[in-house]
Amino acid sequence: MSGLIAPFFILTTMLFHPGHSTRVEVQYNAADQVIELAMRIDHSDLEAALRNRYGQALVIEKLTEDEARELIAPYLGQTLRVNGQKLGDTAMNWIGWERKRISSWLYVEIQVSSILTTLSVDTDSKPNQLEMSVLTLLEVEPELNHVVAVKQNGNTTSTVTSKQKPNVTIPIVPAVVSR
Amino acid sequence: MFPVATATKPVGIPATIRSFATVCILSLLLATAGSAQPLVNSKFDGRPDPFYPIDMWLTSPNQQRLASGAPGPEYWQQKADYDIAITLDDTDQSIRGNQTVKYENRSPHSLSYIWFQLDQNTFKPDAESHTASPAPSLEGRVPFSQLRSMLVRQSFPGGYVISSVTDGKDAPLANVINGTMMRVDMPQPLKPGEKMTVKIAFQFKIVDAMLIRARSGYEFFEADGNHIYEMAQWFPRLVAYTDYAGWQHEQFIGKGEFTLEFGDYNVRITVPADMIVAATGELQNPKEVLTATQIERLDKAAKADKPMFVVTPDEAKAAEKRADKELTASTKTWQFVAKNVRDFAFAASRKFIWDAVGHPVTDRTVMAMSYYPNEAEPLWSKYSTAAIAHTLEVYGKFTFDYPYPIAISVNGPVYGMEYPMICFNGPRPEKDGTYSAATKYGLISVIIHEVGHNWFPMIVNSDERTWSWMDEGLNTFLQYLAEQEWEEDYPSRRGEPADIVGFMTSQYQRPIMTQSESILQFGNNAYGKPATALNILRETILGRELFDFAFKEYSNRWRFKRPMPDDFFRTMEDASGQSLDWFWRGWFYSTDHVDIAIDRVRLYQIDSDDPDENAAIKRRERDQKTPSVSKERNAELPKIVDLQPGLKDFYNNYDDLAVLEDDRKAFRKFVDGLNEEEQILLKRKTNFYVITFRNIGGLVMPIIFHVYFDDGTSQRITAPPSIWRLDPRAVDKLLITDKTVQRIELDPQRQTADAEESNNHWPVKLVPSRFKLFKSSPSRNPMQRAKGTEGDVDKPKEEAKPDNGNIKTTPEKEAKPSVKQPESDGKPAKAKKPTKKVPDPEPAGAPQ
Repeated sequence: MSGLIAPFFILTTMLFHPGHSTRVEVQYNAADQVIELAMRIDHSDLEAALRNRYGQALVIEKLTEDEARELIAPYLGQTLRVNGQKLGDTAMNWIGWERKRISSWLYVEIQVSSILTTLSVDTDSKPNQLEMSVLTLLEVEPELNHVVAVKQNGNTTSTVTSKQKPNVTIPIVPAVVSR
Repeated sequence: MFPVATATKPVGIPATIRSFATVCILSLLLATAGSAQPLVNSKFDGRPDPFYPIDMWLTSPNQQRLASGAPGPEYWQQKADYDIAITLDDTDQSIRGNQTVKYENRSPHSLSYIWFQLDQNTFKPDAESHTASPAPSLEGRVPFSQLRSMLVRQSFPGGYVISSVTDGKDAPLANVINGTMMRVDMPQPLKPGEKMTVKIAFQFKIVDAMLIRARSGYEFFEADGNHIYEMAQWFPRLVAYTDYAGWQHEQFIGKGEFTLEFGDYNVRITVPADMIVAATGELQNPKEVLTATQIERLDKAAKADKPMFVVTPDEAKAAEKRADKELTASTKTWQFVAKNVRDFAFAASRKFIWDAVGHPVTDRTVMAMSYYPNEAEPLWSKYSTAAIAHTLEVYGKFTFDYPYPIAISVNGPVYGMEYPMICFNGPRPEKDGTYSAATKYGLISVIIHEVGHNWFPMIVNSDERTWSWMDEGLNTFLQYLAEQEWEEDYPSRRGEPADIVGFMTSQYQRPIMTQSESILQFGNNAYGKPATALNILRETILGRELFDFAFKEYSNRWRFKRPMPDDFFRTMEDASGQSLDWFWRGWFYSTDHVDIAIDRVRLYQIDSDDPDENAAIKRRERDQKTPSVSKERNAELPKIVDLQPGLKDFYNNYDDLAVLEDDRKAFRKFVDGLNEEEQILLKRKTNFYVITFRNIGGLVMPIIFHVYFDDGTSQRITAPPSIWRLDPRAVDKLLITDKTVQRIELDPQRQTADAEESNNHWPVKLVPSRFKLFKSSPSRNPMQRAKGTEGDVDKPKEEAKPDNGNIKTTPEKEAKPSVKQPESDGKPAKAKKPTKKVPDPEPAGAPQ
């Protein structure tokens, strides 16, 4: 068994999946000016979140590719935020998903240019950075952690985010001089 | 019957402060031990020696606990026998009862007082578990369930009402309640070898476990008006008195579970007559509480080779309708006896289906049994009892035979919690009877885990309140082994080294050796990391034979005894014949992670000093050198010496690599001076590769690398961790071969939890991100893969994006999705390639 503190919410799920976290890999693609994001998410958590959002029980194993895009992509769009902004119609592209037995990898691209109206990347200045808030699943699992690995120039920095501290910094590497 | 209630007064010392102080002192001791050790070396980059013995962190060996890690000749532990009679009131969800505890002081010390744990007090509104909890986040949408929980927690009248505390002759005993503990003063000090009887009358309101999530409580089913009760930590339990801590004085505030004394239990539980009760221990009066049919089925199940229903689903459905008003209104008393257990739990409900099978353990039969409502079907009858039996088999193989007569799994509101002989497990299918793979494997895993806790810590009685990893980590490790013996490619959540990398590289963590209440990322710290460490120790450091012997030795040394971390560390070294201080230091005492990189590779060859050979080599190198840009472009320019040949002299035709006869003579003279063996050595065309490995993560581990040669062959090389003993930052490894190395890959089978794969290759190999890998990989659905057809295999996934490349996002409040789930055929998903037959329970003697 796990814990009773914090205070009583985490108990029932701790053993079911003791780690109780998702894995998120993020990197900025300077050429396309997009944030590439991959998220490994447990089916039980995802089902709970979709049930909470749509008011209907869904079984991940039964979703078709189209259904996954129609259901999961809008959910991610609402629960991932960049610089405090929700991702609008044009900000996020659903790339696809890899469905495993008990979890899935979800892949999306977030178009930075559509979020920052005046994105200017200058090689002479320090790298810009974005703040991404990972709020996914927190409405159904308030104690959940996201382990967010930010990749940049071959280095990886991992941060554990939570409902209390949902933000992670993503460096914008100036690969192209734009002015 | 009991005399006037004795005074029960709370002590004025804030428990929060005491607990905090304890944690601080523990941390300070650890930090002091760490900083005081002669390891930090200012003349060596400030780096501590990762191989310095960890003795200063361990307690000094003594006659209770030997340096070998075994219990010593003077090892002792207390004994507490319980006689309990309680009534579960289904009308107001409460417990009322009396208990008589016979406490035997087997310590060499006189005790002027004894302590009881009052864990139900943790549900009082002013309990430390509540007052010391940080505020939950209320930003955004707050589920109704969370709102209800917060409000109920504020007002629920939980906690014990202790109406009397007396001795064996009913004389009042002075007592003081301090949070979740009660001190009972002895009229005279209890001397070594003496026994004391304490009687306690108590009652408490049972928590709604769906609102106040805890380790026990009830679940109410609105549809039929029934409850499932899962009762644990429900009676005043004697606190452990130990050789290492005296009275276990950590308050119960949440994460740290408990440690208790072994003893014999005789428990009578009175419930409505139409309820079924499952409990720690053997039922003593089946004829009084079971029907003749149920007794007959139970007897048959004991001899059956697959689970059989004792109470069928239809019978459970009929019971939950409370059709028999007479039974509902009357009561029955179930009596259970349990020998040599450290706790007692039970479950009760009208809703229970009950299946059972006798499982052979050496020359005994252990009854593996499951209790669950119809809401848990069809999942539970298929997997629960089968998972229990599987656990008994696998855990027994790696430790010792299960010693108790029964092993029970109960479905109810608690998602996963363990007690002797009985555990509570939560996963259920959807209302339509379908279930996801996550639910199925989650159920199997949690049952293996909770049944497995019988070994750790119910029998190997470690102190969970202080060291969570000692039971959760060891148990999760064995859970992984049991899961891998369930079916091929079982989706274990914990155990594979690669799965712990994310946690080990994260910033928000403490070492495994952290007191239970101070652990950050509890699941990863107490479950995942120690389980992975042990798996690595088994597979990569010691090997299966040495590890399995040592682990079994630890388990048997400490069964029905109380080990500490030191006893585990010492036993594993003592029984394996391998110093593992560096491993405990890195994995259990530090937050370092593994990241070993191939820094560079240098090639050395034997220089025979043969002038002709050397000249040829130099000429080849010179000729192969790409000319500079200017030299290349100036090649076509007319040169003055060509126009005026008279300007040329000796040096225009001089070959600076030409071999002179004097050089040849000198070389021949040198060779003639060598003996035959030296002459052969001189002619060897062997390559000496020096590979530099850099330790970036800090944690020392063996260096496992695979070398691929240009002739198509390859070789696996393992350098033991001691290769880092002189410099834990970087080390050179020599590879001698007559072949030419084409490439080298470090940790190719991901054995060491190496966090960064991109630096594991020579020459450098660009490891694409998961995102890139996904985008560039061909998209094939499972059906295509199964058929082996090409389909759209060459079509990158990115091409499958919507036409405009964008997804229309939806508003926060969403209508129901337009897509419909495929209709269920009512059949559960099938497991992939099950290797063992998992029979469905059948009602014994019943046609359905």
